[in-house]
Amino acid sequence: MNRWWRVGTGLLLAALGVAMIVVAITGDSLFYVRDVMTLPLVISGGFVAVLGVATITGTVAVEHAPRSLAFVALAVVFILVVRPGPLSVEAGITFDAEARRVQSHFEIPRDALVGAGASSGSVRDHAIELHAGQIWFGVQQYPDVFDEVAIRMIGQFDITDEGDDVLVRFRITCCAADALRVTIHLAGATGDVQPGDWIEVYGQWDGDVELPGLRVTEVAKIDMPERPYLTRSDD
Amino acid sequence: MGDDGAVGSDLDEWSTLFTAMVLQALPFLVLGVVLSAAIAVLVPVRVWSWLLGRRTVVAVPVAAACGALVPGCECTTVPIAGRLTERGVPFAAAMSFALASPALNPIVLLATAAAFAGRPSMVVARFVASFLAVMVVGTYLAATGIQPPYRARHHHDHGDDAGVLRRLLGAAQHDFSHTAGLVVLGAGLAASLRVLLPDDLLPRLAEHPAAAVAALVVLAIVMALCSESDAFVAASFVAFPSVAVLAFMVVGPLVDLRLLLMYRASFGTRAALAIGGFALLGAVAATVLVGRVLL
Repeated sequence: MNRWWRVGTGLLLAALGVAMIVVAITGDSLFYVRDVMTLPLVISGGFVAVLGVATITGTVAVEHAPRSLAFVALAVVFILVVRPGPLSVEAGITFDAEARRVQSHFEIPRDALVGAGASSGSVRDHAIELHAGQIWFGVQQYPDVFDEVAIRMIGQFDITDEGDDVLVRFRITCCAADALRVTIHLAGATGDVQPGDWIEVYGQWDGDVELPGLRVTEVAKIDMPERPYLTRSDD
Repeated sequence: MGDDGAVGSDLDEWSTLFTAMVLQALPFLVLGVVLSAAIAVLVPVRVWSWLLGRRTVVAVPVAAACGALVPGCECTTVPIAGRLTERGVPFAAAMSFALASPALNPIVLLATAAAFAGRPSMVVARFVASFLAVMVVGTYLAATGIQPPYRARHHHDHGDDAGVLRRLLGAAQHDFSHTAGLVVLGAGLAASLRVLLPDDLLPRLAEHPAAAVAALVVLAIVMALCSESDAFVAASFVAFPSVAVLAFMVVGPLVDLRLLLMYRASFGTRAALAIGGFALLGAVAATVLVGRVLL
């Protein structure tokens, strides 16, 4: 391998390694992958950067690098320069998780409940998904349990093709490519919020609206949470 | 994609999906090249001969069974299969290990059980169909004697006279630089097809059993999901017949856009086509067969 080809290869690898570290330590990786990937990204990014430096300095002798390695430059540009945001409610092909979440057993996530009769814990993101199926079932079967119990949830506002107001959150298992769209219908006034706005919603469960529903009492716009996706560990 | 806003939204979605797939794959690819470098530098050839022998007819099912016990991502196992072959393990056995690990490992089965709570038959069906598909590929490779063109490519100057660390780095650098670009390319293709796929196509295809299977097979190839996550996506296809959902989970870990490019980078075009083609045929046939019996 001639010198310039070797240096180019090394620089590309080093840049990719740096990009992996930067995206992890800035927290941007949470737009794409789970939080448990932060440390692996830093470690593996460091290793790739070392490979790059070793290539530049000639510590490792390499016969040739394939032309396909040039695609790595595209990844570096997207990670460091383009820095795309998380999936938005406008994302086209997503898969709806709500239909399969109706279960015969339910458990109220205590820290999702605030107000009268509720625990005093802070609200956790997982509430939206647990409620999406399990609480709806509970509302149908045990309506008394949910009377006057206030709920607070965080998600993105959206309007369905049928004109219904909904609260949306994506849940990922590995990365944004496997995102499932979790939806809760909102009944009542939602104010001037626009599709895509991040909102905090207070309300009470409503067994009369389409599965699953929240009767809204208060809505407030908020900044996007540090961790925009739900994950399996939230269940 | 009729107006500028929709195009902008599609580009945003493409960017996010592409970046996500790249960042999800890279740490596992690094793990794979580190392990494959260790195999190349630290493990004597005689160890593999002792473990798997030279008799392919025995090595294929043994390797598949070993793979089923080792949780491994597709991006990790392909480079490892390359090094195993280089170290004298029969190619058919190495590929059986590489295919079985992401398709059959316990984490994947647990994830499937969680996604299909109350439907243990889906877990059993996935295991049996995936194992059969792996055996189809392994048996075909063993019968035809297809070999990747390794030995010509891999003899370069990180020889025995260099230190162990330098040889490890050299081997890892070689494997990573030969694979990383194609992982990025595969992510780009997969994200493109995801975004271009019409939103209303899937619901229409779900109504016809054969079309439903074909649709989810194509989707599995296009989406290039990790095997540990595909069950949760599969479980959301509630309108599809169970056999189509099973096909999605059996095909995906064995053959998808990203994997096809990795197969080609690691084993050459001929072997990649053989693996991809027979993995697809084996997976669909095994799915239909197992689906009829168990689902």
